[in-house]
Amino acid sequence: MSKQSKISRRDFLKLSSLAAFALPLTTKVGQLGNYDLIESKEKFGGFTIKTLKDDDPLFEFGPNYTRFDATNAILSRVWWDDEFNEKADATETVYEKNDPGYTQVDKALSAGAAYVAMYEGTDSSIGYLGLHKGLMGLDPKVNAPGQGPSFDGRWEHDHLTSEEVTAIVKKASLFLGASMVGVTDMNEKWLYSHYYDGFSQTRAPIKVTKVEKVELPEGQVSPEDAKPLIKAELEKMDGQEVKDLLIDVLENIDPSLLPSNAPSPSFVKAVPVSKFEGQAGQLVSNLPKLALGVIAEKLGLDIEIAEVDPGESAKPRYLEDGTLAIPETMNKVIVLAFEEDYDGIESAPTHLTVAITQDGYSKMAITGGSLAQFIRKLGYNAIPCGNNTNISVPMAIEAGLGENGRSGMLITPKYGPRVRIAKVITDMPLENDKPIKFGVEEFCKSCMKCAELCPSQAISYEDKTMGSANISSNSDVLKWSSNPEKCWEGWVANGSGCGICIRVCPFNKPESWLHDVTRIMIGAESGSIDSLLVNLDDAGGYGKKEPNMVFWDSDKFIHIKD
Amino acid sequence: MFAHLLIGALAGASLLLLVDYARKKELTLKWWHWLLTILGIIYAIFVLELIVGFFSEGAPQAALVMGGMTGIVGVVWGVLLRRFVFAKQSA
Ligand code: SF4
Ligand code: SF4
Repeated sequence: MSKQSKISRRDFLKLSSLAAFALPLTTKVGQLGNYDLIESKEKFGGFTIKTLKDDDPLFEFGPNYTRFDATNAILSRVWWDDEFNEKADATETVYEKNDPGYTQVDKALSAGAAYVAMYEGTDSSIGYLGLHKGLMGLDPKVNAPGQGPSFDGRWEHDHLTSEEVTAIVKKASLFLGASMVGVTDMNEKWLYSHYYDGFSQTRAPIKVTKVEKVELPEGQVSPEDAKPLIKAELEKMDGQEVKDLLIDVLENIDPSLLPSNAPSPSFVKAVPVSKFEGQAGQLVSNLPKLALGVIAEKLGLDIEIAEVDPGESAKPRYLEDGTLAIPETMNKVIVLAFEEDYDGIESAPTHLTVAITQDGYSKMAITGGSLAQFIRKLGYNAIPCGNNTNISVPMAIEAGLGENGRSGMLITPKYGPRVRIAKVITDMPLENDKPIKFGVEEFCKSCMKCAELCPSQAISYEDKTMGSANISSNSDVLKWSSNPEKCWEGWVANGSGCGICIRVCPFNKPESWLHDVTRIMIGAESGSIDSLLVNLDDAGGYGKKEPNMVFWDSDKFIHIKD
Repeated sequence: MFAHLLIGALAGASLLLLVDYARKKELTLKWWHWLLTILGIIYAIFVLELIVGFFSEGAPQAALVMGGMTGIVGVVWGVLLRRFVFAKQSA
C-alpha cells in the first residue's frame, strides 16, 4: 500500500525551477469558472480560496439517506455495546507507563486540560453525544445578579444591516476564544435523529418543532402583523404622497434608529415620483420596526407595535419524554473552530495529544457556552453544542470553515485538521458564510498519508463512496468513509487517544511564510503538482510515523531546559 | 535574530565586495547586469532565510531538502553571473 516517498530527479528539477519562480506569485482576486476567488491572509492562512455559488451542490445524498442516530456513534457505543467493547478491550495495550508522552506529568496535563470540559456533566454534550448539560445547558445557570436567564427584551438592531449584526456576533465569538467562526443555515440532514446520553442511559429523539403564534392584547400588533396594515394604507396613496411621507419620516426620525444603508432625505428628494408608484410592498418589507411605528403614526393608524415574547414553544427544551425540541425558528448555526497546539499534536499518538484534545474540548465549552449566553442576553435563543445534537464536520463545511479530507476531518486553510469544532444553534437573524474550496479534495486524491500512517488502518485508500464501514458511520452521503470501530480499537491498544491522522496531514503546518508558497501552489482544484508536493512533504521530514516529542522542550509558553 | 542580522550583513558585504571587484577590474557593467546581481543576492537571502526558518521551526530535514533545492538554483545563478557578467569582461 505504501507509496514511494522519495523525490525523483524529475520532481527535483521541477521543484527547483518552481522554487525560483514561486516567490513572486500573487494570488488572484476576481472570477474563475463558477467560483468567486478571494484571499484573506488573516482568515485563510495564505491559500487561494474559492467560495461556492449558492447553486453548487456541496454534498451528494443517496435516495435512502436518513438522519444519523447518535446512539450508533462510537463514543455512544462504548456505553452500551458490550460485544464491541469486548472486542476492543481484547486488544493489547502497546505503550508502557513511563514512555515519553505517557508519563504521570502528561496524564496530569490531560486531566487539567479536561477540567472545564468535564465540569458538571458538560462532557455529555462536549465529547459524548448526549444531553445539553453544565456549561452547554439549555438554560443558563448563573448566580451573579444581572447574568441570569431574565428576558431583557430583544436587542434593537434595526439601525444595523444584517451583515453588521453578523460581524458583531463573529467578533464576540473570536473574543470569547474561537479561532475561526462561520455561519450557516440549520440543515436538518445533519441533525442527529436521536441523542444518546451514556451517563443517564437516555436515548430520545431530536425534533424540530412548530412555534405557536402568540396572541397580543387588544390594540397591539407585532411588527410582522403591522406591515400589511401599513402597506394597505400606502397603496391608497399616489407616488407623490408616498415620496413626501418618506422624506418627512427621514427628516424627523432619530437617524440612529435607521439602518446604516438608509437613504438620506436629499437622496429621496432627487428620486423621480414614478419610482414610488406601486412600491408600497417593497418599501414596507425593508422598514425596521421603529420606523414602522413612526410611519404608522403619520398614517394615523391606531396601532401599537409591540415587543412580542415569543413564548415557550419558541424556546429550546426537553419534552417530558426526553425529546430535544428545537423550535423551527432556530434556523441558524454559528460554527466555531478552535486551533489545537501544533507542538502538542506533534506528539501524537501519546497521552500528551489527549491533553491537546481535552484542551480543545474545554475551549469548546468555554466559548460555546459563553457565546450562547451572549446571544441569550440579546434576547434570542441559543443552544451551545459540542459534538452533540448535529454533526460538526459538514456543518463547519457549510459555514465556510474548510473542506472535508480523506481522514473524514474538517481541513481548514489556516490550521489544517488541527481544530476542534463547536456549534451554537440560534434564532438570531444572521448572514450565512459561503462554503469554500482551496484544493483539499484534489490534494487528498494524491495524498494518502493519513491512510498509510493510521496504525489501525481505519482510513480509506479508496475513492469517495455512499457506503459505510459499519453502523458508526452514516451511509448514503458521498464521502471518504473511515472505520470508527477500527479507530477506537487503536485508541484502546494505545491506552490513550491517537491523532496521528491530524499530525501527518500536510495541511497541518505552523503559520509561517515558509509554507505560504506551498499553500499558493496547492491552489484551488489545480491538482497538477499535488503528488510532487506530497513527496516534498515526506522528503522534508514532515508527518513521520514516530511522534516528534517537542512539546515540553520547545520555547513556546516557557523555556524549560538549556 | 542573530541569524537574520548575519544574513543581512553577509548580503551587504557581498554587494560591496562585488562593487569593489568591478571597480578594480574596470568592468563596464550595464544596468541589467546590476539588476541580475542584486536579484541574485536577494535570492541568496531568500535561500538562507528559508534554511534558518525551517531550522527554527524544528524541521532540520526540511531545511536541508528545501535549502538544497533552492540553493541549486542560487548556485546556477551565481555561476551564470560569474561566467557572463563578471568573468567575460575581465578576461
Ligand atoms: S485517530 Fe489514529 S487510529 Fe483513528 S483514524 Fe486517526 S490515525 Fe487512525
Ligand atoms: S493526510 Fe493527505 S489524504 Fe489525509 S486528509 Fe490530509 S491531505 Fe488528505
